Amino acid sequence: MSSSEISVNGIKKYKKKSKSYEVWKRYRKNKAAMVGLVIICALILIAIFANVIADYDTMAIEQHAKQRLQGPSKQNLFGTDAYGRDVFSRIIHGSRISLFIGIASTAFCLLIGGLLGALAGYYGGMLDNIIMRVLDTIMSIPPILLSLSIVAALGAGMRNLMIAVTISRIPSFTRLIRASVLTVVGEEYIEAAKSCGTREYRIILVHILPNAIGPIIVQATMAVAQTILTAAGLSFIGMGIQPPAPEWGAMLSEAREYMRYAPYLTIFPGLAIVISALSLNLIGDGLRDALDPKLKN
Amino acid sequence: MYKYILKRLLIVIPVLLGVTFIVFTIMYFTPGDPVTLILGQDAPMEAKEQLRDELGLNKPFVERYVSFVGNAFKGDFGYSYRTGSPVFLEIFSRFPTTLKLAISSIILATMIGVPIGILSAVKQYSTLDLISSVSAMFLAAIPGFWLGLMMILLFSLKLGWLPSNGIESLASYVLPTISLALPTAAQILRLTRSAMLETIRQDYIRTARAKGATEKIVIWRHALINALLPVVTIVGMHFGTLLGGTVITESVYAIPGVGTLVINSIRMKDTPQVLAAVTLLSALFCFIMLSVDIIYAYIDPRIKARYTK
Repeated sequence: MSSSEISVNGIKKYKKKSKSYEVWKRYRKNKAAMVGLVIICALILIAIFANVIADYDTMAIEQHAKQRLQGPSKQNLFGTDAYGRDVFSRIIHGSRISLFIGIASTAFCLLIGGLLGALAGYYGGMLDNIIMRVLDTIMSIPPILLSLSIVAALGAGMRNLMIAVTISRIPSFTRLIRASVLTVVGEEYIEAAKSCGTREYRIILVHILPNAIGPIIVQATMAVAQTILTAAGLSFIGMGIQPPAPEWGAMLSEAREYMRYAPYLTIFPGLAIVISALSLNLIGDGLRDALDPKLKN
Repeated sequence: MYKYILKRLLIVIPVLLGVTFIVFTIMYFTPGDPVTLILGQDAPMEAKEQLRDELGLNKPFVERYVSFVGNAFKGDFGYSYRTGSPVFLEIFSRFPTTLKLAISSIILATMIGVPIGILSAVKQYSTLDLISSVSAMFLAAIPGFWLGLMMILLFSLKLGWLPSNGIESLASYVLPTISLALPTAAQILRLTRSAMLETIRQDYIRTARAKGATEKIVIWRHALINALLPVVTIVGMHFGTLLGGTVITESVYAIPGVGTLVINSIRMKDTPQVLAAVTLLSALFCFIMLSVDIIYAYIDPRIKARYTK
């Protein structure tokens, strides 16, 4: 449904407004959603230019014994931690980790969940049964416990944390995508593609998935927020990103010991988590209303 | 009706077997040598080898899994590598704490979420609706453990009203319960609100109004009962999630529950303990979901009708 140009005798040019433009027009009217979008864009820019704002090695990692536990000041906007590191720089670099985990893990979920959901929805029958029963079983394990066990088996660290969070999220994604695929499979353009002799993998990849994924975008946005929260939680209990990496959850875990003397250490990383999750949720809410105005109550 | 319950019960068996298989496989690949853990680094090779045989660690994967399931059916989940006592002893001594926490949180979350959700749907776009929607939005973005830390900061360290860790008294349950309940309440609130809004727009509500029923009757008798159907499911689901999800909150408040047991056992590479705890919590989760389905079938006449022909 992209924009198309129709020209009649080269005189009248009529540009049909695309669907995505319509969605954007509706989205733009939603103030809360726009705030969310602006914040997330700012966060992504901060993550990209983190090294320009504060050098990773000297500011976020290197320890300065003389500047331990200094409260917020002009020099150290959010104060310094127990090792004399600037909390502001660490939070900035932490945005790289959290956003990366959130976005990459959700992308993997979409990829794997999309494939499994498309296979289950398109072929149905036995394959559908097997895939869904296996995923039902995975879903019966409380997600946080599943992630914990996987991290325990693979060892802590960025990559393993991502694997753990992704696996525990794949089942719900697959379910959603399967349901969405089922609504697409019956459409006439799929029948048309079939009658043209299009190969099955092409039907699934080119015709079904792009049309089925649309409704999932809202869930995916919210999932990025959820993943950021889960990853921070796992790092907080020492089962995720390991210090000295400036992950927000890990920073909170370190800050806990100094809560009585340096409460600011527990406040700022938490605020960073809340702001990123909140803005993603706002975007998700706005997208849902913009994609389907009927749903808006 | 019994047919439905029986059908649902039968599905649980393969799911539980699958769960034990997944957890067992994950734990199988967990690095760390339990023999060294039990006997210590300097133990002689022969003693290590003998213990390995005794524990069945030399047997192939499938054999170990089958014997694990077989023993589990008899209620024997093995012995902790760390303490040497049956794993269930430790779990059962800690389980009541986790259960109390989960029950009190789900009650609090329901008491906050459902009434406010209904009110903000009935009075859509009112100040109350705005405030509750905005707070729910914020609460959904706040990690439970950070909320916990912030409450410790305020109520324990600054004001000194409530204890910040342990479970010595009833007061110790207050902060953990709130920090578990609030994020859950936010989700229950949002769902209740949208379920209620959807119901209010149904034709039968218009019919009820048209025939002259008072607003009170329309809301209480016609709308509420129907709107609460999905709420029952979501409350049950959250209860199950809370039982298995108190892990991080327990760690924040240093509560000796099953969650902290799981974390400590993972750190100590005490595989049988982790395996038993995760299996038990997953089994509970399954049974809670099953009960939710059965309750749902009882209160939803559409499902009931399908099975009582």
